Amino acid sequence: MIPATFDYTRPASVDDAVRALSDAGEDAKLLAGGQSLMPLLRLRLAFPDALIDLGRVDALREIRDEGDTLLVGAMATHHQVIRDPLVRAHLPLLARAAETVADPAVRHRGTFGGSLVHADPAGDLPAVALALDAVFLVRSVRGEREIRASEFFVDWMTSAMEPDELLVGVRMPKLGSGWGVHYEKFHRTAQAWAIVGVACAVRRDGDVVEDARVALTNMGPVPVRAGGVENAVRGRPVSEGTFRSAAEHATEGTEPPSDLHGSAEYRSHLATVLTARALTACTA
Amino acid sequence: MELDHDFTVPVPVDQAWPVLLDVERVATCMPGATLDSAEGDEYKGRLKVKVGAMTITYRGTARIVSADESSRTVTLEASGKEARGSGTASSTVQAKLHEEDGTTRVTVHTKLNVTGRPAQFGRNILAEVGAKLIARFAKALAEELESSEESPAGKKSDGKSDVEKDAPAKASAPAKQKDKPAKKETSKKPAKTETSEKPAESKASEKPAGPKSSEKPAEPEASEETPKPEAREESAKPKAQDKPAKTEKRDESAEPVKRERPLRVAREEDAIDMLELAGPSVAKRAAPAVGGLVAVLVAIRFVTRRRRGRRKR
Amino acid sequence: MTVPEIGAPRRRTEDTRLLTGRTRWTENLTPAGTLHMAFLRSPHAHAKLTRVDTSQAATHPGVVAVFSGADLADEQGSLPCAWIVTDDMKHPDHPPMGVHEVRYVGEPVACVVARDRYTAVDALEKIDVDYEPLPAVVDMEAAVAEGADLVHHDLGTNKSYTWVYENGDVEAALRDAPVVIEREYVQQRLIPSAMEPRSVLCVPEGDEFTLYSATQIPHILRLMLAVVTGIAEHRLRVVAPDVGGGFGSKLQVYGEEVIALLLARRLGRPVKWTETRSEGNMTVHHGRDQIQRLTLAAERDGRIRGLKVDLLADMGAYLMIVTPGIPLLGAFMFNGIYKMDAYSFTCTGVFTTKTPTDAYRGAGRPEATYAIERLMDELANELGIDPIEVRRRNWIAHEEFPYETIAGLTYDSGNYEAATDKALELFEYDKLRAEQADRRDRRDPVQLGIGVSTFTEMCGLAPSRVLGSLSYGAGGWEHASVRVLPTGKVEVITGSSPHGQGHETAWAQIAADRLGVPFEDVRVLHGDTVIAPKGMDTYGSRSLAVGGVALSAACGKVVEKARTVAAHLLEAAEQDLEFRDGRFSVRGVHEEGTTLQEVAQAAFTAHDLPDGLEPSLDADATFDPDNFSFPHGTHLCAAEVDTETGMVKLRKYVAVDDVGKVVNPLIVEGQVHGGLAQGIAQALFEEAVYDADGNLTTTTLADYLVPSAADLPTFTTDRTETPATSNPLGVKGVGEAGTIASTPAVVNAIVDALRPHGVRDVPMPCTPERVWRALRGEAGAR
Repeated sequence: MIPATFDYTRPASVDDAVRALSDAGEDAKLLAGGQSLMPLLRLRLAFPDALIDLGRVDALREIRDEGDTLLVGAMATHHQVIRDPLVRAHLPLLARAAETVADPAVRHRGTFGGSLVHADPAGDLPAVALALDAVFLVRSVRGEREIRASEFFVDWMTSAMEPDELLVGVRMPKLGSGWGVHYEKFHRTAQAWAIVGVACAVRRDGDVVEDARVALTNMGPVPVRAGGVENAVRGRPVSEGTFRSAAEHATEGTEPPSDLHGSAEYRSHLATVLTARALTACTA
Repeated sequence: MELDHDFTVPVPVDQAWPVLLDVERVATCMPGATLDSAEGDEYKGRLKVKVGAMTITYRGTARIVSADESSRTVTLEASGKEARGSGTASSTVQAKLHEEDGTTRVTVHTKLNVTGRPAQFGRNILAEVGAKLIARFAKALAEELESSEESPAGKKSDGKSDVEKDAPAKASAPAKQKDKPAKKETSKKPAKTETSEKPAESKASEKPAGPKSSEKPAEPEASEETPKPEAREESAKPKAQDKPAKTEKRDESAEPVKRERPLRVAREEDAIDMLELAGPSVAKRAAPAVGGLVAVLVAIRFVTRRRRGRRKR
Repeated sequence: MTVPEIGAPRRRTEDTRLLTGRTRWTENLTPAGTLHMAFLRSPHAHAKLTRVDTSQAATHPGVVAVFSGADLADEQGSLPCAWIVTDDMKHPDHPPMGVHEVRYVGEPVACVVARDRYTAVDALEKIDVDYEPLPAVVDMEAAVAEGADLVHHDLGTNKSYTWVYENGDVEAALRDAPVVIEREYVQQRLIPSAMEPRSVLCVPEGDEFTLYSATQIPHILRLMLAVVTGIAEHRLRVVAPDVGGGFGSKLQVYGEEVIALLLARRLGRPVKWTETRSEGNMTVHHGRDQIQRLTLAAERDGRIRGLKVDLLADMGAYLMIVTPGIPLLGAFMFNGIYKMDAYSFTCTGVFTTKTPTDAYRGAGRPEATYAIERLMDELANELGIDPIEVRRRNWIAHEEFPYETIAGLTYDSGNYEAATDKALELFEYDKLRAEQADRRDRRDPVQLGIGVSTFTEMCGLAPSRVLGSLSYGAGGWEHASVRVLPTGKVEVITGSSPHGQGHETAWAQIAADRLGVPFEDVRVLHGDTVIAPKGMDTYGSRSLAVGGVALSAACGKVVEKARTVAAHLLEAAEQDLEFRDGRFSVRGVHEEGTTLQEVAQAAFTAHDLPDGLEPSLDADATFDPDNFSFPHGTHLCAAEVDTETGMVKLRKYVAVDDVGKVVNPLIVEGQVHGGLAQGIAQALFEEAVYDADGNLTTTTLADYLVPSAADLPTFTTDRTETPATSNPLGVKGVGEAGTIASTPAVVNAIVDALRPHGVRDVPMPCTPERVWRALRGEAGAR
């Protein structure tokens, strides 16, 4: 389909971008990698008055070591995230999950920040951000604020950001040593969305699970942190039995959708099976 | 898609009944709905649904097709066309009142039929949005009916105090709607509704509210206490002037009608994006204002209040 | 001097331009002054059009004109159906744009013509249409029940036709046989998904028109457009420039093509339209969509007694060019490669409020092959015999050819034993069976299944007499011309119309081989009714088996004419000349000779030609075989099925195909790979899904899952070579073989893996959820 008319600007700095966004009013959209927004434009499901293209705001592409945390710029592409030595060293779960996003073309254009702001519960990275206790740095002409991942995803395709706010970057605590990570993505074709995904990190101390982070993709209108699973494995011996029984908690607090790709019932079943597998993979 | 909702309001059936017959009052319960005009018993209006980056606006009509006082059943039909696409939406809403010990249990059965782009995806936009929309409608209807306690039958619910109105709203909120899983697909999602309802209640009490807005203790009020981004309000004005083409488009959207009755709700800006209501808690979204002139803020707050006030309906 | 060109694995010369897109796709052609069309399409599955108001759109800046179906009612005619399968077939009118009623989501109701494409689409928003919704008819079984809502009210029924074929006493076989297997399989609806969307450009020049279209059938299209619009055939030129795939979907006369022609005539300017993917998913004709009720009767030793086939075939809302005939192409194939005593076939074509169906890669034969190959596995299981063995007991032995089948065809050649033996060896069948047993013993959550498909197909769709006996509206011959230019370079003109198959390479190889000229000296021209005035186009794996043979014959005629000229030049008798490597020489005196190039020059100057011989060196030939060709093969698939999640992973796939003589093994390999991908896609991934209201919910490739290389195993392919006897090249055709063979191989493998769990079928596509539900004992699960 052919998109409807919109104004187009391409600022070169974050300040210019937030000003342009503010000036353009409520029906403006920021264009990052365009891998979600462009299809909506082309299908005429979105009719923004203005598009503000962030493609030239190079400052937003930086991935920075902040000591205990990494700051991943919102415009870092998936490809960049996958290859980045800092991400690979300190946030391997993110690199692992980003590798599963769509196909190579999408990963080269699509951005980390863009897929988070789109807040699609079927996207892979929202659950990862949730599991990693990410903090979202957003900016508008009114200033900057931080939003915790647990409060960022508020509803189906809806984030806590105001229409005049721009995501600058995402700060994530380094995982540190002793963690095993895994992103278990269940999808029918390589480029398809996850029917269910499990982002998982487990820290073991010898034969005991010291800590765990588990979050689910596409098990509700927002990504779901599987706190029940985390609690059920902490302090328990590393064993398939532990993981299987802990995974029984995976569906707590979920509201899986029923759609062409899977019924809610099937998704619930998958969440349980895949959570056990992800926990196992993290400790393998 | 068929949806069922069920709730109880602490007013007698005789008091609730006239409210159901008042299309203007019932229509205001639909989030995102705007009535433009009325001709005979047919009302023209719009429904704007906004989900993330997606926006779908319908223009259409609504009317009561049957009202059976003996069985206390009202059937309302609404249908519309996409303003910017070829799709259509139509719904039949049947509300039935049941007397239960001086209170009224209301069952609402909705048939929703959507065509066009929103119906052409495997990921069920309808299930995500439609069910939520109807759930919001049912909730607002519950509140509207409760408010009838203060407004005698047949009389518009003007001029009642916030206190009078807030109390039942709060009391009614928990567990008013219950799922009927028997129906196919989705009915509604308890957890979701719960999260979106909570902030609404907490806010209701803060509400300043003019006579119109008092009809419904809806949620966005809290935002009035929060300085809103000045940018949006500022831009609203220049947009109308700088972009004649777009303004023109908007003007065309007003349906030409032969005989218009004044309506309580009849302004373009009133269209609500549904997720603004249903989704994020306003408290969560409230941004700390940094910078900005106090004078400007005051002015903007005034504008905001007016806009928000209207939006609520 | 030269290597034989036929059989050489040449890389395709057309690929550079096709793969880079720097070529003549229709969308790339935009003559000065071109206007752009956009179509408003029905969002309803079924509705009356009560009002179509185009006035607002007509005044939109940049819009040149807007037409509703009613505006064009007098001239748009009805889209053609060329296959009236029975005398009493119900055949509703099919206006290119809806006038009074629309019957599927996506049916055009109005058209905007504007100066650019954006404006045209913008203006669509301003067309106001009132629809009065009518009941959607989405379920075939409900559609044929008493009192069903009707798709076409005036027809009084949703049944288009019932077509019957019977040979032998099936009822007796079913009654008497000790083993009777009854099954119902559903061929889901598929969307062809060619890489290039449909695109059409019509350029008027006075009262003549050149229509460029992404079509498989420029010749048929020209004829049909002339018939539909009344524009004289000789005033109409149709060009299929480079075309990016079709899979049958571009074997069609589409409403948009008719409208482009009519509006170019009305407006006197070039008019163009290219569909979007989501528009195409709704409106390109769909494929398959059958409910198959099957009964197989057999002896205890596995020998088949009889087969009864009862089909409901979804026509969609209208009959398009060969819609009703597609399931009937399967009528001759349900018996597969097997001998049996009795066979009956009944097919009822059913109207629904869905996109019309028509040819899709395989067209009728994949449906039939799926049914019989699934049944053979069921029979093997019923009798406790290995599925290979039950096939051996029934198939036609290689010494029995030619063999007249129960379905009335004569299979000219074949060697099922050879193909099967080769496949078993490559597959390491016994080893995988051992692993399967081991996994079963260990109760491994991932079970292994082995699927067999020993298939044949009828292709090289040609024999004009046979097509005539089936009431098909045209013949099936093919034409070729060969021109040896004065410099000795060669132009080959073919009436087949490639859309990705590699004709330019393969045809050049045939000509180079036959004429003894360098491959590089041959150019292949096609796809333009002025350049290639005669032809029947490309579909049904017919290009090589019919068109390639015509080319070979034309080359033979050129050589014969050249021989006459050469004999004259060499002052020798024709019968004393031998022709080798492009040179005529007197037998035994090799130094004395003349090359084809020299002959061509002499024929051009005509200074010294034999009396009565026409100047120039060229020839035409038309070929119309007297039988189909019958490629066959054995495909084996190993699938791992995760019993916890239902996920299916293909572990190994071996395809041994016998496509007869091969012109270019690289092209054959490519056709097999692509065909396998498409057949596997039906088994595992693809399905056009309509909801209960008749909305198509798979309008994008995010929902209609076309697999990529990442989703498929590495294929092991090999060939046996049993030449066809129905044509002098011995070729059979390979375009559809992979698609036809692979679907049952995959599903057989899945079912085989799950048999110990009591599963005997999983509906296609075998999604993980369906497999999971089948494991839970829920039949026919979503």
